[in-house]
Amino acid sequence: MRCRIVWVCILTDLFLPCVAAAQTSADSRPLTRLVTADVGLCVEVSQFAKTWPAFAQSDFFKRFERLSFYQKWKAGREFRKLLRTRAGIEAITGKPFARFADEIFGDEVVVAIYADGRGGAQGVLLTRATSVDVLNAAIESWDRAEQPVTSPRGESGRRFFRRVVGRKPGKTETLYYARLGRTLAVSDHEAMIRRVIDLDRASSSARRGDDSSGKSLLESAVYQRAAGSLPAKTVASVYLNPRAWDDLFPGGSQRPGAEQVLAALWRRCRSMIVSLRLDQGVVFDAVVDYDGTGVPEEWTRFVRQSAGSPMFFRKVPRRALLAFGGRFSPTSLQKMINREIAASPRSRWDSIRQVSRGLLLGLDVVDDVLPKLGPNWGIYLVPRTQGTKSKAGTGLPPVNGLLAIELAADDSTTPGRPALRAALENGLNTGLNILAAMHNSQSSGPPAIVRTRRRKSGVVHWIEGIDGYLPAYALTPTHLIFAGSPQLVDEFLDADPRTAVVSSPEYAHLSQTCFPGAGQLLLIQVAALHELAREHADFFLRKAATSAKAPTRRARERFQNAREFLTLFDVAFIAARITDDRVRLVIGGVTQHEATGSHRGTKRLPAN
Amino acid sequence: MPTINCTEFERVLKESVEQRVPADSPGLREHADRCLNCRTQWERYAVLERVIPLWKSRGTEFDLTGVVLSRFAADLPADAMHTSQRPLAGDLRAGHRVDRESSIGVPVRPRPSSRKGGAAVLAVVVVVLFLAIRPLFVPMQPGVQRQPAVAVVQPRQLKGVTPRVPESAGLTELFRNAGSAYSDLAREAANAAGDAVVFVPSTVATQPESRPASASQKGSTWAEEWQRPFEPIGHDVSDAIDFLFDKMKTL
Repeated sequence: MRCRIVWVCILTDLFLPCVAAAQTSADSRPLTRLVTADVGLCVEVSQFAKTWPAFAQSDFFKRFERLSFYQKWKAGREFRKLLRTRAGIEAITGKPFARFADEIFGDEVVVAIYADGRGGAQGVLLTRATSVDVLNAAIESWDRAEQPVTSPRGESGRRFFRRVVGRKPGKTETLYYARLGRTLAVSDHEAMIRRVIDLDRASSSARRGDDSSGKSLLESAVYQRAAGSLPAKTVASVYLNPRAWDDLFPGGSQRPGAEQVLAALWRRCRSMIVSLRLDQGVVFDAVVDYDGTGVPEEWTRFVRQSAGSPMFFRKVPRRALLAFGGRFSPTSLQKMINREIAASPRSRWDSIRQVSRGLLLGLDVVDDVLPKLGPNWGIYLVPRTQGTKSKAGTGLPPVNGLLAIELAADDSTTPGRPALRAALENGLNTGLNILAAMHNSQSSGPPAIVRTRRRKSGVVHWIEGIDGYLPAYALTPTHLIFAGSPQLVDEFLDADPRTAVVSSPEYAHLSQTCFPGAGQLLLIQVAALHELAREHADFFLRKAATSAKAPTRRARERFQNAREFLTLFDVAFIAARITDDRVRLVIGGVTQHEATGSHRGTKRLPAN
Repeated sequence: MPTINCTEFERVLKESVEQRVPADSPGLREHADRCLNCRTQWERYAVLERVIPLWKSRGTEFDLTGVVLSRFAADLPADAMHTSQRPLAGDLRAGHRVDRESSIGVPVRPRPSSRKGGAAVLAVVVVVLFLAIRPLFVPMQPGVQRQPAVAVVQPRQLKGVTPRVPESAGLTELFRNAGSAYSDLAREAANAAGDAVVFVPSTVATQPESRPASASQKGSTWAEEWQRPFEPIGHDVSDAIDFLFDKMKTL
């Protein structure tokens, strides 16, 4: 007898952990297994309990807490309401709020919204608690607080509950909920809960080997592809299934042209997903998967040309406040412009092109020049180093800028046709002289004069004497450059990639972690911009008063708010990567403290 | 040259509603002539304006009883509503709605006149007595939100009525408060970010100039329908942010 008891104990010890493990394993599968593939919108928040404490300790969050509007909010009525909410929930649950939130929502939360086909939507909330006991205790607290009339629904094995609570005079609120292990599903529509239960059963059957799966979002190939594109440290994501909302974007030949185009683009979309990362600051990734078959040839060419990193950043100095570098397809642009011209009144375009042909030695700006430009181009702004006072006493903008476009290396010409560079040189030099002449015709002071400096790599032209401004251009074997001063042109021509922004460790880190392979990139050195705003507060205050048409007090307030907001990040960026069937857009603001652990204390990309 | 834009129009109108003063100026009229959306709001306001004198003349004696009795009506079991008390309960609810909705500018319903029954008088007496003696027994803690008086007075004296736990209404209120608090913070953050337009060159910065005829005036296509909520962005970023948050509140 004793032996039998021992055997029972041994078998139980062996068997129970297996059951528990199986239960835990099934329970820990993503909650998207309880969402059907035809969902319209699905919000997922994962590992909140782990990511939130880290985020609350981050440099970004500490900076956010120092902002005056946050301080004001924290001292105000709304924050006191929040404290009361917290105290109320703690009183109801009998637990500290943070612990309660971690236990109930800290693992995984999913909100799934389905289009009902009549222009409306139905939703269900799924949350996985840390344990069944915790979930049961939370539901008990909830019931104690609201005293609902609860009635069981569904047949055995598919049991769920209907919960009715009086909210307002004559108005009750009905919710349905189901407990699936440590997962809670809540909805105001019974069908939503039934759907979750069906999927749970199907999911369990599939795990046992039965062929009853294949309709959950988790198993959907479209969703898997979209979710697979997200970065590793994603804390929350929103998945949008365009097919569920097709009714909102009707197309058809009777519709206006713009709507037809939008409807066609919408139908081409397979999925959209937006994710949030909090590890370096705040970074959003938006990924659109589209059907790349049968797209117009211009798009295909653009995609091909825009692939790869923008080479422009190899020439951007580290002191740049803002820089954009991108790649475009000149031939696609040429075709687009030609299409636009064909649809416009001919006389307007004809006269413009005729003038340009005269300036460009007979070459056409659209048909002959445009295809020779690109694919790389870019623009950047740097703090103005020369005086910021004009002769008229008005302040010059404290920034200066440069625009550069790559020029095709091939400059060969057919007999009788002028060389591209010679044509551009003639056109631009004439234009610069006309500009100076126009200025002189209206000015009584020293005349504006066009200056020229020959360099090894090309010729630089600029106008001297326009009230502090020095507009310049240069033509080199590889670039066409326009700048706010000849010094900026020189700096660009002499730029060494080893000292450019692209070679800084911070840029390298960001390009690896946030925008790998992005063909278009806008980079803003927010910390440097903040410093500039501090140094040139008067200029920006005047600017704020003008642009907002606001009283000085309000303008000052806006300026202070803006300056303060800039302290949140060290670097901000918008990057895009386009491939044959996917568009990825990344928008983020990061603090260098988190972005590069090895460079703690660095507030911006170091200057040259 | 137009004198005001839609946002300003809405602000002036709101102020007039809040201060209960007539809103009629050449600027408003001129703008309403051009903008269908604002004209609709103005017409709605005009309805409200007609009610204001009545509202003012009736004084406040209705508010307390109306609210108290509507609370009692809410606490009555559903079956009681379908019996002899139904007309009273219905009226009470209607009265409650009129009181609330008229303050937010939705169509106003007739005020009830059949609430001066014995039950109402009794309820008022109970409430007044309770309110008078309550501070003697319940010390109010500083910083803790006081429950509305009507919420405290549960109809325990009424036989056959199931008392409701105070936290029931409070839980909804708690979540609403949290939503409101975070919404307020988000609005402040968005406005602070919107102020960053001071760094954008003047030619690019948005100006509160006149805009072409509103899409709603032609509005027949879905593209225009989608575009319409974003129209204020063309004027001023901070106005646009306020507009979006106001819209979100109405969802």
